[in-house]
Amino acid sequence: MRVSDSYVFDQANTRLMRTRRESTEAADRVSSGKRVETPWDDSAAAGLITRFAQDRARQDAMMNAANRASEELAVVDGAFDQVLTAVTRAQELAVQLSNDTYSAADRRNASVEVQQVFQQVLTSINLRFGDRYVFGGTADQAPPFDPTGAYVGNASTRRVEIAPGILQDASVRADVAFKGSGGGVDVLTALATFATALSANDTAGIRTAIRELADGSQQITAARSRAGAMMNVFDLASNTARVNRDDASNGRSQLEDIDLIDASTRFAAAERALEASMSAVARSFRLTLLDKL
Amino acid sequence: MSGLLSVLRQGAQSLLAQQAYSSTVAQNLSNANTAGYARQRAELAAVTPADQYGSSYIGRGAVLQAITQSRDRFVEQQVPLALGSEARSSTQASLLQGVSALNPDAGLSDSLSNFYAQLRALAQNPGSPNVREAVVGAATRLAVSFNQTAIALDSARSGVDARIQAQLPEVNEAMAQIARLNSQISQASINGARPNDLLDARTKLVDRVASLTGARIVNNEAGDANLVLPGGTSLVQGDKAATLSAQPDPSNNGNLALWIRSPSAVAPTRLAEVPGGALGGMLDARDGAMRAAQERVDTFAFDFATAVNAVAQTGFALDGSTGRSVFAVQATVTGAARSLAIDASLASDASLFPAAGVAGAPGDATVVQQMIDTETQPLSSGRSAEEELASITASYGATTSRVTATAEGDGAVLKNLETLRQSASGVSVDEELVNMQRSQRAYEAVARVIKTADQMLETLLGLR
Repeated sequence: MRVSDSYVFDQANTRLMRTRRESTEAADRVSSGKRVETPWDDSAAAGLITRFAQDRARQDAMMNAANRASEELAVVDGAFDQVLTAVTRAQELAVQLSNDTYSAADRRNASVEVQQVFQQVLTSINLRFGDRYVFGGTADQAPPFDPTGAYVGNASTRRVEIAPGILQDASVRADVAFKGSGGGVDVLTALATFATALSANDTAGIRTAIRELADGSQQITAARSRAGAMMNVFDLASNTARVNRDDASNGRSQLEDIDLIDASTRFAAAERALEASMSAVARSFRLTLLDKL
Repeated sequence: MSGLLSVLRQGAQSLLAQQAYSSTVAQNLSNANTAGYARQRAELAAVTPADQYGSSYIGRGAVLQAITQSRDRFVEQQVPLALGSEARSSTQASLLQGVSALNPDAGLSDSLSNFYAQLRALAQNPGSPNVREAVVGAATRLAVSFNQTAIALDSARSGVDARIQAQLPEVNEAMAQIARLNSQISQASINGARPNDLLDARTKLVDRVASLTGARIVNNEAGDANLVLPGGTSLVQGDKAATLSAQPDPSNNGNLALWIRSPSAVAPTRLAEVPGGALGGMLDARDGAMRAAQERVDTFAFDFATAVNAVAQTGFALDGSTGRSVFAVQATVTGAARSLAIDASLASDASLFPAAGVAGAPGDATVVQQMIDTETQPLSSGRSAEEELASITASYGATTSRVTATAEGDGAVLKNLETLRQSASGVSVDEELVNMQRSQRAYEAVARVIKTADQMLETLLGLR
């Protein structure tokens, strides 16, 4: 082939531009750490990266929701503990003061303590976690129990998504746990009645309170157990979501990120090619008849 | 005596021939880097008829017969086609790669996942003012992301229009110049001479028009370079050139359509074919992948917002009101992404977000949960929101990737042809220097002949 000077210079330009581009691209990949930055780097991978990103965000949101639900149930558990402690104290007083050796004055004094227990229970079950009253059902923006102990919340339970399309109960029904809806014991009324019986020195009423408070205590313990079971479900859901989220991250990383060793090797090879190309071009320019004539 | 004078005349003539040879070499060296230049050759020939002396003929020296161009007609015919193909694919690839709004880490994907993440947080605490504000913020961000994606695609298409407008004057001027050169070359060739520089200039312009429009050259017997588009539309015919212009096309979102006034026509008509070359690449990008992406983003925004709104309208706000949408979406698909916004009442009061399935239950998140379900429900495309977004990204990437590969292939073909063209027509400095030496040596020799003949004449005149 006949070689013109334009050909020599054009070829030099083409070679240098190509090796320079390859070297720059290799450097960019090493510095960014990404193999796919645009849809045309790998169109199939780009689409999957978008889906992995969505899946990761979804799993992350579900993990956070499960964690929040679990934290809330832990707070609910604390409230149950306080209520049970208070009711147990009331039970102790009922057993103690049902004994005929106590005087009417002793019982009036004990009545004051039971009224304090009532207030203590009321405070515990008007629990606010974050922006909401956790025992109000879905009527959670106001205290669910009024000062008399009447329930003003509703019978709804909140549900939290633990997997796409799968919902899990995340609250206990306070009307069941404390007010005995559906055939249980109204613990607050039992405490109030007990205080009244003490004040009136009504030993029959006091003995009735012993049984009601015992049943109420069991009722609250059962509700607490349900809350504990829910907490376990949410902890499990949180772990599952975390694993799924990490899988999504790994899936995205495998598609998107470079193999650092491979990329570094390619970068070194591209640099070497650029150096060689420059040397070859410089030498080809030196060889001209102009210098010989 | 008369024979020696003949030698002197012969020498003078030959010196002129060698000067022409040297001038051609100098012209070649001067134009070694001139685009479109084809190296020239001074064709020297012996002067005929030779003088007859008895039964023998003695030559009368050398004369410049012609200055020719070195061109490979086979290659020259292919170069404009290759230029058009390469310009079309590389322009399209370059324009498609200029759109970053559909990158995997672009805003729309993040905003969509953030919207659903905030809905999940709201499902857990629908009465919380803070979480409601966060959801409204996420919905606003998502609407803005749709707006920005649509604007980016729209701007890219408008940018193509601006490039088309900027390119047309150059195309028209080049076509007019080719028509003028056709006329000049025709006149200059009447006496059989070859106007090489005019031919070079025309070849350069033909290459440029081919690169811009994909036109192919049709030579006629008169030596004109007539240009026609791939579909047969004439651009240059002899000494007449067409004029291209652009006008908004209402049926294509107001984007520009090409119009042509043919050499023989008075009024312009809409160009019936898509040209090749850079103009074709621009139209391919604008009305191909970019338009498809824009339409799909519009459909996606419309379907998504409609699906969320359909659920939202069954929900109740904290004040017990119902029938409220989350997104303000227009009635038609076209332009839906660009105009998407959050419902004005929600923007000013997050408590109005319709989260509950019943009135007066601020902690109820039934409707929020139904909104979350729209994440996996199929849209009109049959794909869920995230599948549709992934499909739009992958589809745009696949087209861009295919066009980029085509551009690389077309570039390699063009490079090969240009190499062949350079091999035939390019100037080699080394070769010209050798020719210069050859010319110098011959010139010196002829000068020596003249000097010797002069001495011989002097000797003859000195005889007494």
